[in-house]
Amino acid sequence: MPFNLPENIILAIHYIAFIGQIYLISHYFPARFAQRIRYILRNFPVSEYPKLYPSAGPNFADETEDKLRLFLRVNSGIAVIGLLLLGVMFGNNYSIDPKGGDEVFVMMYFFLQVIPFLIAGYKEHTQYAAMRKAFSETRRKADLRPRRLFDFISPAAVLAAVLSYSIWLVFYLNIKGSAGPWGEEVYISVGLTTTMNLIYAAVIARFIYGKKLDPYQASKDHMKTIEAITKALVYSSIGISWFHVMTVAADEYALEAFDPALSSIYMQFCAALGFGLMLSIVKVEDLDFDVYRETSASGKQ
Amino acid sequence: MQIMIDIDAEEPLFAQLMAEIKLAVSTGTISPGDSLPSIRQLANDLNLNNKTVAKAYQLLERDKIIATKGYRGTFVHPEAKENVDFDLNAWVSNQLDQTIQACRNQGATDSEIRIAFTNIMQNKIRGGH
Repeated sequence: MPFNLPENIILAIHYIAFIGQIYLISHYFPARFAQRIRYILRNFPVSEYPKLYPSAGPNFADETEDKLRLFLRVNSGIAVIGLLLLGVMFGNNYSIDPKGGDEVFVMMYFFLQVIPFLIAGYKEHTQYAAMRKAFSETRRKADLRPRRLFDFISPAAVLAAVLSYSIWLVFYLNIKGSAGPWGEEVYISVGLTTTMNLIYAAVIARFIYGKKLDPYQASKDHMKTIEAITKALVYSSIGISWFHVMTVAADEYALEAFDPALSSIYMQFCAALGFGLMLSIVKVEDLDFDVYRETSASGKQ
Repeated sequence: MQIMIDIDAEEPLFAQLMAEIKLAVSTGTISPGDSLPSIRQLANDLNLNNKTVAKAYQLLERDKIIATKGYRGTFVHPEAKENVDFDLNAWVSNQLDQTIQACRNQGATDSEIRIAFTNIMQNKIRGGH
C-alpha cells in the first residue's frame, strides 16, 4: 500500500470523500438553490415584477413550486442511490483496486448528480432568452467605464492559473517523455486540457465584453455576476491543473488507490466553484429587483 | 458614470452618444486621461450596432474629445475640456453664412452661389481632400 497506509485508512478516506460528495452536490446545493428561488418568488411576485417572469402563466408560482419540489426529490433520489452504493461497498468488503480505475464510479456518479443542475441551467438560459425577446426598453443605459479582467479577479490568481497549467504541462510531458516517445494519450490529454482552458478564457471574455444575459440587470449586479463567473473559471483552471498533477503523480508513484478519493474531492471542488461561488458573490438579498417592475422607476440596467 | 440613450428619440443614436460623452466631460464626470469602454463593450451594453458606436467615437476623436491609442484603448483627450464646447456644425454654418453674405454683397445670385459651391465640393471630392 502507498506510504504503507493500511487499506482500511485509504477506504475510510474514500468513504468520507464520497459522503461529502453526496451531501454537498445532492443535498446542500439543491437546498440552497431551492431556497434562493423560493426567496425570489416570495418577495418579488409576478404581479409586481412581471419583467422577471416573461413567460409566466396564471399559476406560475404554484407550477414553479411543483418543479422545485420535483428538483429536490430527484436530488434526494440521487443521494439515496449514492448511499446505497456506499452500503453495497461496505457490505461487500469493497477494496480499492491498487492499480487504479475505481475513480470511474465516482465520476459516473458525479455526472448523475449534475443532471438536475444541467436541466435547471437550461431552464435559466431559456428564461434569459425570453427576457431578451420581451425587452422593449427604449431608454438604455451603459457604464462609461471600461471593464477589464483585473476588475474582477486579482492578477495573482490569473498568474497562478497560468503557472499551474505550465507546471502540469512540464510535469506531465516530463513523466510521459521519460517512458518513451509520446503516445496518442499524451496528445489527447494536452489537447483537451489546453482547449478547455481556452474555452474558459473565451467564456470570461464573453461575460466581460459581451451582451448581458439578463437585459434588465442592474449594473452592479452585472459586475457581481461577471466576478463570480471569472473567479469560478480561473479557480477551476487552477484546480484542474493540480488535479491532473496529482493523478499523474499517483500513477507514477503507485498511489492509484487514492484516485477515487482524489476524484471525489475534485468534483466537490468543481461544484463549490460552480454553485457555491455564485451563491456567495451574487447574494439574492443584495440584488436590485426594482429593474423588473412594470414601470421601472430607476431604469437601472 | 452611466450614459443613457433613447432609441425612439429623433436625434440619431451616434449623436446622442456623442452628446452624452461630451456632457460627461463638461460636467467633470470623466476627466482627461480617463479610459473609456471599447466600442464592442459600449455597443453590447446599449444593444447597438458596433458601427453606430464606432461612428460616434470617430467623430469625437476628430473633435479631440477622445483619443484612441491603438491596443491600449480609448481615452479622454488631454484637451477635451477646452474642445467640448466647440460645436463644429455651428462653426461650419457660421462660416458659410458669412461667405454667402459676402458673395451676395458682390452681387452673386443664390443660383450662382449654389452652382459654385457644388462645383467646389465636387472638385474636392474628386481630388480626395
